[in-house]
Amino acid sequence: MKPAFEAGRPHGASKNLEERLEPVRKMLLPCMQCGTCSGSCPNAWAMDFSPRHLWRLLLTRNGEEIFKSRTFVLCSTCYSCTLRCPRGLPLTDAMSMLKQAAAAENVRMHRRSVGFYKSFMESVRRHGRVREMEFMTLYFLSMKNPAIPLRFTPLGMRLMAKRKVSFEIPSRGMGRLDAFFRKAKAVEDQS
Amino acid sequence: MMKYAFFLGCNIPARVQQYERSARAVLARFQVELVDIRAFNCCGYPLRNSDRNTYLLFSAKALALAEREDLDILTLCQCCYGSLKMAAHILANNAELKNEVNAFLGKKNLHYQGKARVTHLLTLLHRDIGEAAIREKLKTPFANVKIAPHYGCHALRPSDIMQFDDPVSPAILDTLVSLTGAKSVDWSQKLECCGAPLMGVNDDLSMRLTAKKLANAKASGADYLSVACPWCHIQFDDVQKEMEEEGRTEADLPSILYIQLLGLAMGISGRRLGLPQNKKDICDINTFIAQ
Repeated sequence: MKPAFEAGRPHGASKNLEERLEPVRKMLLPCMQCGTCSGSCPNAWAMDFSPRHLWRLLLTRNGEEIFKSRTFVLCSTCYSCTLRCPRGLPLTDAMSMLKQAAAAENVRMHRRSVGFYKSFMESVRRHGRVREMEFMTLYFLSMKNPAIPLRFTPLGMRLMAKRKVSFEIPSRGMGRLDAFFRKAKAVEDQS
Repeated sequence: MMKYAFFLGCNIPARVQQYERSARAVLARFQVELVDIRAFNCCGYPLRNSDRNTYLLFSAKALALAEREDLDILTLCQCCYGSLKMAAHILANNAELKNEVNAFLGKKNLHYQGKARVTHLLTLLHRDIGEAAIREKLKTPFANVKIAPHYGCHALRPSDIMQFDDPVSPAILDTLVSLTGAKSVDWSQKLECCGAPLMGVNDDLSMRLTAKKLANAKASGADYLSVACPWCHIQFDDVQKEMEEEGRTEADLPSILYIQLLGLAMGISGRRLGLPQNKKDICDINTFIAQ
């Protein structure tokens, strides 16, 4: 079978995915498979595995299946499952940990799903807050698909007409938040 | 006199400037002093699901900056609110991580103890300013306009940490909407996700969530949605516009920021409240003001 993920350039520590699953597994051991999470999830219908099914896969050690699925990527963090779980399990945090594992290990099929927020934060890293035009430019570049910016052109024109975005040439900025990113990585490497 | 460190985050200065304008205009009339701290940056929310440590540092820095000024933080955004509260909760329960964060912030002459509290605009209005004081300032209340209040997930849940309102049947925004003379309608999808966190991850699913909510609110008889989070507002305003062009929704249900609604009822002009900056035209909401 083809491996579900390809080891790319990791932006965190180079732990493997299995290792990253361990704390999530530990956290969800009390899961009793009632399915309240799936019933509460607004996006369950669009997922390949329901949230309940995903937790079962996790507990029965099917790590590869988990990272091949797009279930955790489609979690919109509404926290409904966390609110309703009769065992009081932090299920939204568990979804978040899976997203972070996929991002840190640069899992190929999920690369696109972090492009938006990565571009957003790249602009924040440079300037402290997001700059709309730069963020959009970075995002479109990361998508490597010329059709996407075209889709947004009418919206962009309207935004400019209303002076909601300004023409700013992407710049390196002052790298004001570089130290934050370095520190976070150091904490990650230690743990 | 109330005094707060005014935390705007990213989205409001970049994309929803009318939120800042209207909040400043309204809060000035309640003698709330807003202190701007230039060193505030992004709260880290966009990193919560990809790089948790960096998110924590961002939020800790904001909290430490407010603490240095001996101020509590006022946020206008559900996601900034949720992120800052969550970070404070994590740091309060992990002494080792807190030390680590402080060793880092120390180099920037900052220290995080956890003294600064985080308040959302709606809580400030409802709990601290209070219904009676708001009622006193109303000059031009609404009549016969139906508003569907949208709460936003990240202020409500996880409720044990957020302490914002009842996560199953919240009432604070309904109460505030009713104060303006508008009728707050009940709708079954009130507490569902607006779709914003999936924008950029899976645009199709994101828009489907938005379309479902818009259709449901419209069917409940609402003339407008009212929100108090810039992410939700972008979804119901900018994204709804885009959806209309793609033929994904016919609800034609504009979103008005709650603070704009309140400002109008207080007799503040639409221009000062940034009404023309909304993508979907909401200027005709003036026709609902009681004569």
